[in-house]
Amino acid sequence: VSGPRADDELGHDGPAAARPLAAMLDRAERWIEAQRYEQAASELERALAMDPDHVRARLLFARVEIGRESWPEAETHAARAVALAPDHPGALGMLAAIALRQGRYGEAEERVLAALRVDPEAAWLYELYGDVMRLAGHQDKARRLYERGLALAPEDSDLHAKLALVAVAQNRVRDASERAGASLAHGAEASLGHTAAGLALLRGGRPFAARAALREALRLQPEDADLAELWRDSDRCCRFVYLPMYYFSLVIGRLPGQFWTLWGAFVLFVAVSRSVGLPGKVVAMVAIPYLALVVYTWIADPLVNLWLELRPARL
Amino acid sequence: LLVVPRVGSPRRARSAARFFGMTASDDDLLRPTLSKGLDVGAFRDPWNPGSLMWIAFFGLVFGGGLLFAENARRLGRPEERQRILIGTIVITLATSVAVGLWLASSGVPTQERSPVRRWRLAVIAVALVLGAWLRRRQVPLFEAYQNAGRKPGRLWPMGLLAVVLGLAVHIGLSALVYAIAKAGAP
Repeated sequence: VSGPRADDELGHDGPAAARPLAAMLDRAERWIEAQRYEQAASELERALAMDPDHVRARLLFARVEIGRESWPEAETHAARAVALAPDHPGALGMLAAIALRQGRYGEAEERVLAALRVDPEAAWLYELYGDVMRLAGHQDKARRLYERGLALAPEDSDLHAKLALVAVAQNRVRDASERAGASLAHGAEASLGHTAAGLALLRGGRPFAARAALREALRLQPEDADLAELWRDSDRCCRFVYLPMYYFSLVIGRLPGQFWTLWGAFVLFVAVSRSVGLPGKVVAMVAIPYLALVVYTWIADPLVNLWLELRPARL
Repeated sequence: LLVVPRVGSPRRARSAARFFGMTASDDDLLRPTLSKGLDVGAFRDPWNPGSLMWIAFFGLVFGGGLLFAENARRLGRPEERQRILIGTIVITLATSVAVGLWLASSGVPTQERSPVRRWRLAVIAVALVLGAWLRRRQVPLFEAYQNAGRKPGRLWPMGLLAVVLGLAVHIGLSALVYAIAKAGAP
């Protein structure tokens, strides 16, 4: 997700002074792309020493701090950039992304809408707004926003992947698989596409294929802790002691009221069987498997935890 | 899974907006959806509303209602907490009075197929239906909280207390109504 650079309008110095500064910022940006944040930070410190009010330098520094997960510092730089250029969609979007990451969804929406008022044709802003809605639990609006983003940038693999994530959240397995496939078709080396494919497979009852897809995503983005946790979850579902629980969860997850509906049906069955005088053997044939299932659902988690202690997950 | 924006040009953006003749306010997709102050950082260790269903199951209307009310506060909805508390008290009173009066009018049965069991199941069913409704209301906020990478609060000490308190209140109130009704009966 990128926009064109416009050093001429963002800097304060004239063209002669801006040239070395621009080169410095270009170098910093390359360091950021390579996730070498320390080198990027030292370039940017020198750049800001030359011009502390340089919007692009502030925004790049915010990206560095995001990369280092130093959210308050990232926010300080982004807020300074917004103060310097209140109509800059990149600055507003950056502040929105930081607010979103910190769980300030209301503020994130406000910022991203302000950015969209300035630039209603920016696909990445629709993607960001979609993220706000998806994480705040408004999946349907998130879907519409990602679709709007895709209309503007049809080849964006991340937008396809995020549509797949929405479909997973809404339990639309086939749609999720198709979207994840489209994402991988547009960017086979994009970690998010593999993540979406893994989640779609996991929701579709294919835990082994899901584990393989998530392993691939983790190979592409090895430092992502959330992804590592997702992969461990998929590995858990592949364990022999947990497989029945995984399939049971898939089935019960589609039932309105989930486990409570099953319990209600069982209570109703017992009540009806008593009033119609069903033989004890018939009642036992239903009650014993039901009780066994209940006990298994209680012990499945500790069992698989114990199993993982004995046979830890290996990438 | 988030977008980290790169630096764009506001001048180009403004000209694009003018070229397409669009303004954000024309588009219903770009109308705000969330309340301005929605900040999960202000939430205080909310419990998973799905787990509270177990408290409603064992602690009945009173036990479950208390924790759903407290969870509303933890999810930053103090006004909803008041409403849930009032509803919990009213429904607890109504169910306990109904059970007490019914037992007083029919006598406490002693045979195996006790109607007390049916009443207990009926009260559990009421608690679960109310719990499911409250869960549905609280799940989106709780998911938003979890999506920000935060962990839910620990339920078990308060949960255990709520179960004991819920059972005590339901049984105590029903017994009290039963005793009053029996004493008043000719």
